[in-house]
Amino acid sequence: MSKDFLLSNKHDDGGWGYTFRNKLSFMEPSSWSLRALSFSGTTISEDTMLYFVNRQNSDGGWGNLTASSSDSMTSRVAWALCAVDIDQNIKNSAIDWLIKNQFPNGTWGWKIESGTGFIEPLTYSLLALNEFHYPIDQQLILRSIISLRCDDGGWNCHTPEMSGIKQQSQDSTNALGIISVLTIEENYKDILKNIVNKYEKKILNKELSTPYSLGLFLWAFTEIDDLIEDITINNTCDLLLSQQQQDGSWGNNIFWTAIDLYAMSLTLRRLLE
Amino acid sequence: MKSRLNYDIIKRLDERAKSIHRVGLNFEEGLEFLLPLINYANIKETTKVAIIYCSDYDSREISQALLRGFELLDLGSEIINRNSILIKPGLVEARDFCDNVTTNPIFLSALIECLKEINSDCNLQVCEGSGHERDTEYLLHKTGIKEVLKNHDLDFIDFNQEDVMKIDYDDSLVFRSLLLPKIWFETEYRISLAKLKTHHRVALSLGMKNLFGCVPGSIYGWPKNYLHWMSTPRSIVDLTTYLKPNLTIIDGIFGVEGNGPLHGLQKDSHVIIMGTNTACVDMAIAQLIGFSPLLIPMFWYALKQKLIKKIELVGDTWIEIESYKAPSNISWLERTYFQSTDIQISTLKKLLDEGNYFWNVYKSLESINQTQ
Repeated sequence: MSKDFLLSNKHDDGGWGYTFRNKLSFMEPSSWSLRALSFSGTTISEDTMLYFVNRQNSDGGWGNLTASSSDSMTSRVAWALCAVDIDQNIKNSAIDWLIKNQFPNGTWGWKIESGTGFIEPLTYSLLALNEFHYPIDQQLILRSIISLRCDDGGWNCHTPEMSGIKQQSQDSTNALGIISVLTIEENYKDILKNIVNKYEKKILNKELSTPYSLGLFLWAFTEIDDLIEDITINNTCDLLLSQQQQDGSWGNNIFWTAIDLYAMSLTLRRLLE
Repeated sequence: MKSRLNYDIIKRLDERAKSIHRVGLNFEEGLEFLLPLINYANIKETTKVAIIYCSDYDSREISQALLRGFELLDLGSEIINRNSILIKPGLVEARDFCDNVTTNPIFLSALIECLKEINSDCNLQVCEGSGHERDTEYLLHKTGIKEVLKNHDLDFIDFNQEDVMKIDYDDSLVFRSLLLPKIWFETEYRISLAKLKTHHRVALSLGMKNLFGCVPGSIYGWPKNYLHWMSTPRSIVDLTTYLKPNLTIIDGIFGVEGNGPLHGLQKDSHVIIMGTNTACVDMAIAQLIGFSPLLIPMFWYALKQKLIKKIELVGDTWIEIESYKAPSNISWLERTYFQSTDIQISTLKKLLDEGNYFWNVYKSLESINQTQ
């Protein structure tokens, strides 16, 4: 049903918007829809493939909108395209763009002009590079992930400290922080033990209840494997399913539905392995 | 076409120069240019800013205060004739409304009531693009806004996920063009609704700074660091020029002083301030809480872009707001509005001298660029 929801909300250009309100297609929900549909066993149509191919900028990257300059959305597109069979040159030039626009401290920002890296663009860049088995400076990147960590052990969307004041982490970014550590560090247990315990309790107490954050955490939990109880994954699935609407969507929102479909498909795959 | 700073050069500057640029102390014009912020020299046009007493977050009292404000500003016919009205609250983070970081839900509800009372047929929308929270559902729940929308049967429109359109503006300070939510420009009447807060980087987070929430994260990220990188006060003024809210309402019932906007302390000021000129609403508030606009870069740039008019304060002008504590990194700003003109100008000179460090470094890199 979620698949049907996504497919029925595809635009004529082969892409997707964030919500049904959008007439424009954006790279981010389109990338997620591609990845989600692919992982759920749906064949990706040619118009969708062309949507990405035709919008790659000459520098190898993508912006979120057609003809907008390349930015961190490149990582989402590159990561999504790893799930499909597409001209390797397209993927290679995307990876080249990512490498070229990494900041000296190992992070990636939202826009190349902004000069500061954050956990979300870093995580997706890492995922893309990892799928390509691109050799990266793991220690540098791990140090940057840790440097972005708040005192409570998690991550927020900005910085762990602002004007000398310690900041709190956010549910909506903690899952991404976990995924970034899992992607780069084999000995992740010590780094993630506390934050994972925290969210196991939150899931048990039903304190996490929104489609966006639940989807990201289901994804993160499924990737963690040995650090998480099966019951936590089951509980997260249950919470997510309880949020699903009759039309198969979450919140009638294309972006959230794609994330949640991906997370559920990934979980199902792991269960069957 | 205005000439602009070369950002390839700015990227190569040292941290001190970059910081000066971000805070906006590298003002291109000289000290004399800024004196109208203190004496209104050569500024002929006037704009009204209404100040209304409101003791607490009581829905009825807020509604009455708002209606009185609309009357003082002669807004009745403005609002009544509109087919569509947009309210842009400030929801930067998913915080409990008691923290006073985000728009108070009771205030928002009261405003919606007022607008419906004046114009029951209009298409009313509540829109915002949170700078720090991508989980919209969580944001609306935590801030208490979800209940308000449900009670009024209104949907929330997330600017961060909306269709955008390119707006070009040759005469801007930093952005030749911006991708901004189409719905803003398709709506007839736009209200910027913000809390009265101090700000560690730009001194004040009021009507102009609230417009950061109109910049979609889908294009500019979470946080919208790009706007700070390009120079926060310049970005603020550019956005004000691009977006031109029809009405700015500032909730100062409980303001935030000290290390605002996220970590300040509640300051009970019991006022609502509103006006049709966003920059002047902000400037009036700066004066009322004791911060000299002469010493705040976003007003320099507002003056440069001809946004500043003579302020005519109307309404409960008897109110004396206790001076606000400034953020600890700019604590010298406290009570500067009450200092003599000479002292204010002397402080201004020091600020502009700091800005000169930027120009020295920038120009030397620029000339190296040109000779290569």
